[in-house]
Amino acid sequence: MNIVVCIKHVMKRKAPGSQPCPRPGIMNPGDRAALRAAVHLAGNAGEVTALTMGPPGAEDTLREALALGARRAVLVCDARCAESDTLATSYVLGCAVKKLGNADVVICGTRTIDSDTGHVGPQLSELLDIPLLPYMQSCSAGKGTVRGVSRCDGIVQEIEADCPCLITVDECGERVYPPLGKLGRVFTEGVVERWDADMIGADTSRTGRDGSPTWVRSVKHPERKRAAVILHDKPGGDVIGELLALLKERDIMLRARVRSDRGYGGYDA
Amino acid sequence: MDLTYTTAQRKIRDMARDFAEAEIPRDSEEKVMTTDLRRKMGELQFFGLQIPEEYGGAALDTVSAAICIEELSRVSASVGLCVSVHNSVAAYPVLRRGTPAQKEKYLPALARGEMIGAFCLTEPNAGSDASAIETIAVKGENGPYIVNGQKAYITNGGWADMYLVFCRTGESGISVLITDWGTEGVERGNPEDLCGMRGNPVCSLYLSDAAVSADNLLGDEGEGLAVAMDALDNGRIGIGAQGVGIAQAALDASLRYSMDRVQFRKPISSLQTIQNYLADMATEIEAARMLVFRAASMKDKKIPFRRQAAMAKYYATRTAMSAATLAVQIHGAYGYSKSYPVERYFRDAKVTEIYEGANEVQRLVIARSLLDDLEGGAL
Amino acid sequence: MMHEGIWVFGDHRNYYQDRVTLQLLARARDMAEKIHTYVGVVVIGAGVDEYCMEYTAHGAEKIFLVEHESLREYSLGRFTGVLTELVRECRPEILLVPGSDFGRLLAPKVAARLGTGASSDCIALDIDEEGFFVQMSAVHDGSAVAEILGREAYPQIATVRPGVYRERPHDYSAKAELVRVDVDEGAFRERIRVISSSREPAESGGLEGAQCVVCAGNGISRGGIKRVRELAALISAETGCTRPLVEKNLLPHDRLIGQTGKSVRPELLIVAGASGAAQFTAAIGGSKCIVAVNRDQHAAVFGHCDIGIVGDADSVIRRLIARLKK
Repeated sequence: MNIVVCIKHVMKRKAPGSQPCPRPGIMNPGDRAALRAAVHLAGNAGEVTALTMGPPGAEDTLREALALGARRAVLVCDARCAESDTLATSYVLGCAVKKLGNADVVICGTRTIDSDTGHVGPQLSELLDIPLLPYMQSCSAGKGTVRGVSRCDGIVQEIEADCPCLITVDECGERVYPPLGKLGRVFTEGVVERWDADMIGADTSRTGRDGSPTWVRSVKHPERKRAAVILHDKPGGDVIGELLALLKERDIMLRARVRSDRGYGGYDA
Repeated sequence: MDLTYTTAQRKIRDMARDFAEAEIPRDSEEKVMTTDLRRKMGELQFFGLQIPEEYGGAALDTVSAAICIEELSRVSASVGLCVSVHNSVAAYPVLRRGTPAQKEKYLPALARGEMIGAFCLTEPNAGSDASAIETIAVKGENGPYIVNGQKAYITNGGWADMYLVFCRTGESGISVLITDWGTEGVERGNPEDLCGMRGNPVCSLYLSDAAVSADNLLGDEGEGLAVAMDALDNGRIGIGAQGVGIAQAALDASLRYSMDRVQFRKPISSLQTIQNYLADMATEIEAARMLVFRAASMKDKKIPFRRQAAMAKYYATRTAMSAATLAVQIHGAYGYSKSYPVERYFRDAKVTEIYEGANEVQRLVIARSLLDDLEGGAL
Repeated sequence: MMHEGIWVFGDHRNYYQDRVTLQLLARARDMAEKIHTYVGVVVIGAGVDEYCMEYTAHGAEKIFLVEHESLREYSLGRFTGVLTELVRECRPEILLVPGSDFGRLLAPKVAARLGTGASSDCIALDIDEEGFFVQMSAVHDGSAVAEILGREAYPQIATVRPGVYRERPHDYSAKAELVRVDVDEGAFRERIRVISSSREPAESGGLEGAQCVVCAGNGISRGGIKRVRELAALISAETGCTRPLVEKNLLPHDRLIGQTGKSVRPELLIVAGASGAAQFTAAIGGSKCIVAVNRDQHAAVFGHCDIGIVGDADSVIRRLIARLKK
């Protein structure tokens, strides 16, 4: 089976006190699970292509994808795609998938560490008009079909669809890391193909800001607003007593198995 | 000369760091190398850092390998020690001096971490004085070597599957026998109750009439000390990296603590004394790391690197001890408590100055190398 | 043509555990007042009269009902088709979708089919002074908040996390206009075949609506987890945990509090042995009073609590249980 995996190149938040990194982007951690699923589905005969829409620095991320089992890596990099929201992004990725031409399955992760909308998978499935198998915990390839276990709102279903189809993969199970040997080699030997909007036949009125029905007015970092009272558990002290006293000051009575008058002390369905 | 990381090295560092921070369990100092951790590390080729691809290894350059050991050691010096010794002084000699059959038998299993390796030179009466070993191997006519003796303080001893046992083989001098765990007559002692590195089962190895096949002779008879010297040069780079990792952990903890700890109405990081400590720690760590990388690069370029490896081991372990000591001091009473990680760095750091060639021996090596150069007119 | 009305998708499948539809109806009523419009609820399914009544009692002024036997079970393909047709016909200005797993698929799919915008996992919704619909979404692992607005494309769709808003009290006397809509069967296409289906057994009630929660972090030992549950049972609280405990299979995924799990906003939250990673603290901000216990006084969690105890979490929990039992 030929699989296309959509990977996102995200900016890592700088840890306070660390020196700024020359190239601060990384692969979205959730996409590693998508790559793992892709490699599993492709099997020995199939090919996994990693696809990203991003800036030039995303090449590093795509090389990591090669180290994680992708056979081919494609970066759609075009200034006209900058500032795309999820719909515009899905449109560009959709054009690229069509250009690649032979995808039996498209795989996306469900969460990113930056905007975290989880939208691209569902929207891409709409734009490509292929069925969506969501939140897959496991999947296997059949004859022109994909089947697996989907977990959604506490309901576990075994579902199946004909190819071509799109799967979203939850970050479940063990974390995925690139093996050291491959990781070392991929930066000298790996090839990342560069495409632009023209090569994928994208209508630029549907990419970038023009193609985005939503926009971000501001991003704020809220201040810590709780002023904590800190108690220290010392031998000979009574930190439990102090805690209960502080809670009492805030009208919270911690009692065993008794509902307080404030109605707090239980959840009724 | 490029003293900055290549992209590949940076990615390897990031991967090793992410892995170490996420996967090495922090709830027990002793039970840190769980079966799960060992399996994951095996799959990612941490146990085959410089073993060639054909045997399933990662075939990394020495700088990248040193980076991996540094990052593991930063989270757990015990795990870093296991990986360093396994790679640098157990797998490496097999790679360098092994017969094709030996390489086929051991390297793939070592690379996957299915077998862990150990280096058995030290004995109760032979530490720095390596040539004073008493373990004897007597070879029968067309038969195996019969080995008798005792090895002491063997890193990875409690869980190794392959032991490189150094023994006297009669007139030829000292030889190396690859000894499998499970060989009759080979017993492990109880793990030593050590001050630090408590996640590594360091123990004695008792050999009584253990029969080791002649096929397991590594190199030629009498080559033992040469094999040991070669291995230890390599091992020093790994231990140097381990020292850098421990020191970096001590610095990271001290930075975080000094920014949060408030005394006299200010964080202590605003005090010049503390700033001096932090600056000293950081500078020494940077220098130690550079020494390790220099030795590693020279080795990769096949330039004689014995002196630089000794310098790296000496300086980095000394830095680990001084950084860990300063870290405890910066943390004050909290630094002395087991609720904080710095007292473990302090205990772990101490042994790095002692093992894999005590630092006194390293200085001997450096001095001898300088004087030899002078006598040979190389200066 | 004018777009009018704030719609809420009636996510009735997990009705008893997941009251987000009611929470969104409450918010929709507040916002509708500002732009002088009505609040509608979309109910798709079969045999859903009881939900229509509940939604009426909790704030819905109009009910857009599509009933058909093939819609009895949730189906992403069919619900996307039906909801899209409904929206095309009745032209709401805003569509709010509960942030359940299903909602987080339905909203972007409908948005893509209509060419309109959708925001995700909102932690606040508002109409600002200029009448714009402002959606505040948690980004960067929960450490920042993005203000998202829509351009000229309707409806503007937002998914909202559970527990962000409080539902209105049940009002028996409320009335709503019932609008039955016939949707063309072509909209009912579903290409996914369901081979088997089962419900995961939930341990007990939901974390999201809980009034009191005790959360175990990675610093709690395996034995300590039993005591955390004991404490929770003792004070009638729900038990939650942080991600490492789920990864170690010590507690099931439905107990996970965090960005990839549930948000909680109880009156009292006790966090024992958690360091306070951003993905966790993002999900507890709505709690009224947070008590954190950690033996590292520099743990990030102490920046997000009202009362902090520096000490061994296992020991503190043990002693708290003993004291409460006296």
